[in-house]
Amino acid sequence: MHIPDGMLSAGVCAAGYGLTLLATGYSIKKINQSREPARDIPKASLLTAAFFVASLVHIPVPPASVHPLLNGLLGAILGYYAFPAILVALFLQAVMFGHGGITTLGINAVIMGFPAMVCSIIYRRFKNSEQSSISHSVLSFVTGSMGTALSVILFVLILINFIPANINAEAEKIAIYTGAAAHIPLVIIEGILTAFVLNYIRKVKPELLDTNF
Amino acid sequence: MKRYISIVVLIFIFMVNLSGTAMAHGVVFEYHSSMTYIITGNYDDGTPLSEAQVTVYAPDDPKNAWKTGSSDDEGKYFFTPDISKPGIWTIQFRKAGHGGTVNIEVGEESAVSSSSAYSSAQMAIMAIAVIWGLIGTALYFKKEKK
Repeated sequence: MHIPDGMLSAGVCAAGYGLTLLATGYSIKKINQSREPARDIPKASLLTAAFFVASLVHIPVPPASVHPLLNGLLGAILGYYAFPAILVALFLQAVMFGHGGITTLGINAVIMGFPAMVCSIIYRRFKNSEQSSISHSVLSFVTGSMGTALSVILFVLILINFIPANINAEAEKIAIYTGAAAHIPLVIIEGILTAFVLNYIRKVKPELLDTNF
Repeated sequence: MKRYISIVVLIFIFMVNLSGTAMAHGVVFEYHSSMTYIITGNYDDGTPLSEAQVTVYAPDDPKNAWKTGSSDDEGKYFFTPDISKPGIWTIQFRKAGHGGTVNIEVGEESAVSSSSAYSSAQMAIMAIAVIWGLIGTALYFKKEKK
């Protein structure tokens, strides 16, 4: 899911950085407008660590292998902190493990961060303290699945529309669609994982899910 | 005299036959040096980057592909550079938006072998270091709040 250096043209990479700059600026502005801007930093820091190591967990889906993204989970728990947290984790993954790249950091942040923002809005819009456990589980499952599914869709759209002229476009498209299909089990796994984690937090420490905005 | 002429003719025929036989078994040798790199692409979980599209860029034209091809089932690509073009050759693997770029120096100080992979221990140490930093950040801000 991480696009490495050299796969996209300079223009696409620049556009990715532009969108990332806008999203980060918007998130920071919203954080600063909150009641206690620094209150959620510990939570954001720990979930940045979780997102960072998630890329090392390989789930074999023959013929490929996939790794959890957790962007739906981050969106649900962190709200406006999600995008900056994902950006920091992607930067660390790129410089430490070579997952993704520096030139493609912006576009990777768009692919994984924008769905997290959408998940944050949906989870907070439909969550309420009086809803049943089943209703909350369904909402959490949808949130987690949607984060991964939207990322896969963005990943495919960007790659399909910006295939370089010097490679076999048809072969690349087939490879992209095959890779995207390999993520279908992950969409379900992420939904189950997100539902489990959010339900657990709701039972033991519900204040962690409260908004600060 | 006739006897001498006959002997000379016989020797001539023998020599012609002998040289003809030698020419029929002649072998000509030529040799050229050739340098081939075996470049192996693997995902970081060890799965081969099989059937990836490979694009080679020569040092004198880094924008246009010098050659294109694909990796085999084991993720291997056999790259034979044009040694008349010394410099850094760029070989890019690509499959479904994944892949990477290898730079190989060809010339007087040609690269022999190299690997960009980290060992599991290195990966673990880096992961622990980053996690520790992020946990430290969390604890710092938690303490500040109190």
